[in-house]
Amino acid sequence: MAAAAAEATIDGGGKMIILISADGKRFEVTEAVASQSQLISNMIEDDCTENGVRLPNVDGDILTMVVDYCNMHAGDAAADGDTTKASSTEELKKFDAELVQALENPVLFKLILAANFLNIKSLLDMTCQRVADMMSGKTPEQMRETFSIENDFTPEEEAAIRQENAWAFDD
Amino acid sequence: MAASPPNRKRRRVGPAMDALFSLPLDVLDNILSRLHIYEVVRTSALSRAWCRRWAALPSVDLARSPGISEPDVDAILLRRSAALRTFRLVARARKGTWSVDALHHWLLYLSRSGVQALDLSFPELRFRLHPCLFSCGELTSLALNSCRLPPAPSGFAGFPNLKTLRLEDVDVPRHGGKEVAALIAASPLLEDLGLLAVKLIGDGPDEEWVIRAPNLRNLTMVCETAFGGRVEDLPRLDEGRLFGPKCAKFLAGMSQGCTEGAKEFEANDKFLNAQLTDDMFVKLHVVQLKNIACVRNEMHFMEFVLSKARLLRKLYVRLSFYAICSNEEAVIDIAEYPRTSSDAEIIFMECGIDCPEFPELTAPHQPILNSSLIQLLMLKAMLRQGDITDPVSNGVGNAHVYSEEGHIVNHVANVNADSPEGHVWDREATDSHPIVHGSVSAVQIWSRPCLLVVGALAVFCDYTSIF
Repeated sequence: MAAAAAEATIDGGGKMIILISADGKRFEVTEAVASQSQLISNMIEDDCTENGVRLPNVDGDILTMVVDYCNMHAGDAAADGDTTKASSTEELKKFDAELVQALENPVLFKLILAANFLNIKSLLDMTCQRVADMMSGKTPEQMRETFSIENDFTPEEEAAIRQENAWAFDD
Repeated sequence: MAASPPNRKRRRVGPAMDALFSLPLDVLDNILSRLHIYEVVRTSALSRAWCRRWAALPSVDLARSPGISEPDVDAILLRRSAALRTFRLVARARKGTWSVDALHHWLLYLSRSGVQALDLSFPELRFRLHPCLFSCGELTSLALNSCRLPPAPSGFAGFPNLKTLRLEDVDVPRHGGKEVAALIAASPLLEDLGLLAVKLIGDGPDEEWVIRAPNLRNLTMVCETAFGGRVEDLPRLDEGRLFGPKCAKFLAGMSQGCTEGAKEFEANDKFLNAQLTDDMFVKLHVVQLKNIACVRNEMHFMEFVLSKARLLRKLYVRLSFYAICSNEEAVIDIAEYPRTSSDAEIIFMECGIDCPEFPELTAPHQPILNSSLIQLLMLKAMLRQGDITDPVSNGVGNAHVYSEEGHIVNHVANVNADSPEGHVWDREATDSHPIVHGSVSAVQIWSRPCLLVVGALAVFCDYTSIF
């Protein structure tokens, strides 16, 4: 393992580290890839990734997506010098769009929670934007339907709320 | 419905029922902050859990709500239930429909709310802001457009956290230059400064003021008129952009890496004055000069840059419609200037239109740019649309003449079809005037669509230090 770690210099990433999902799946990634997660980056700095990084609240299927995303974006960050700026190349845009476009709501929310927990800003922003896009231009009724929100207002209460902010509802 | 404050911890609806609402607070803030304000407020009708959620959002962005009325803004701010950190407002209201009192109230509210990012724009109204602006001590970013700044109160404690300051089309009262300089001095962390078409009332050539900013990295100045002051002590400056006819002395102030008091100079023969030290422009890599008329001061300036900038890689030149000489003549002149950087490359960009003769404009310092708003807007548009990027990389690759080992080689490639007059360069003339100069590594001529920007001397300098 130590020798392999010394050999591994993909994208200048240096050492390999192991990420372990809640259901025990193991993912071997370079430090450069994993460092896009601020959480893991801090752990690498603190030298506590020796025995693998356990991520008890991220499922294997979600972590697969996260690792794919980080692999895709790490090469770009490395090529760009040392900047961590998200790439703007067409290929990456396409990859990003496809990643979030097809997701069912529960999976999308899990991916958001993983991005939030791992502190991967670009992934978090992208997934949040996806949810915002799903809310945009919709009436409250349509939003409820999209996100399975139960309307627990009485008709009188709902009318009062709409009345209170009438300026935002008439268009 | 009782008007209880929003409950940010306890939730009536379980996670299984409303996965969206159950997202962590800052994540939901992130999502909602991407929506139009009307959509944000509409979430109040989703369910009981949602009905006050919008009022706790730390940002209110009214920049995309052009028709928003004064009572609507009142309603948004009155119902707030949490500290407001970011407030953006672009008013499209006409004079008379908004009152300055309302604006004062909002600003007072924002100053007490601990606002950190404030972006206000009043194109038609030109309000004078309330002095409580100066008590927004937690500001990290301040952008003002089309308004009047009040004088700073005597007890002004400064903006200790301010990193970004952008004043555009803003009137600064009385000794405007001194006010701006004091504002910058009171913002020790300032990294990004934009002064665009700022009107410094009462400022004149005799006013003494100095911009000093120890942490400044980016400086953009569009000077419509001559400012009285100068800049110095900008040890961390990475990039300076200067637009307008009266920028030379600011350039001087920016030209030294670690300055020990920049020397003021005018854009004339004194550019080559011996008292100017050799370490001027030591970090300069890229210079763009646009709308050059080839008057004496501009030619001297180019000569000066070439003679001082040891690391210069590219000098871009685009002649204005009113240039007093042709590209060919300019190339011949410039090629003879000694240069300290062996890598220096001079790249000519064509306007695409033959220059009419304007003999009255040949005097140095004759400002071609007047204060007409349209031209000003064009300058702003240039800034915004990134027109100042490297022309090589923005698809203009129509080099049709370049030199190799000091000789011009004809290499006419795609003359830009968009160029109104086709290509201007005369091949025969090129052949008969070979540029022979030891240190020329390349001279390139670009043809590109004409940009209707009329400026006397626009300077763009890139102080990139990473190379």
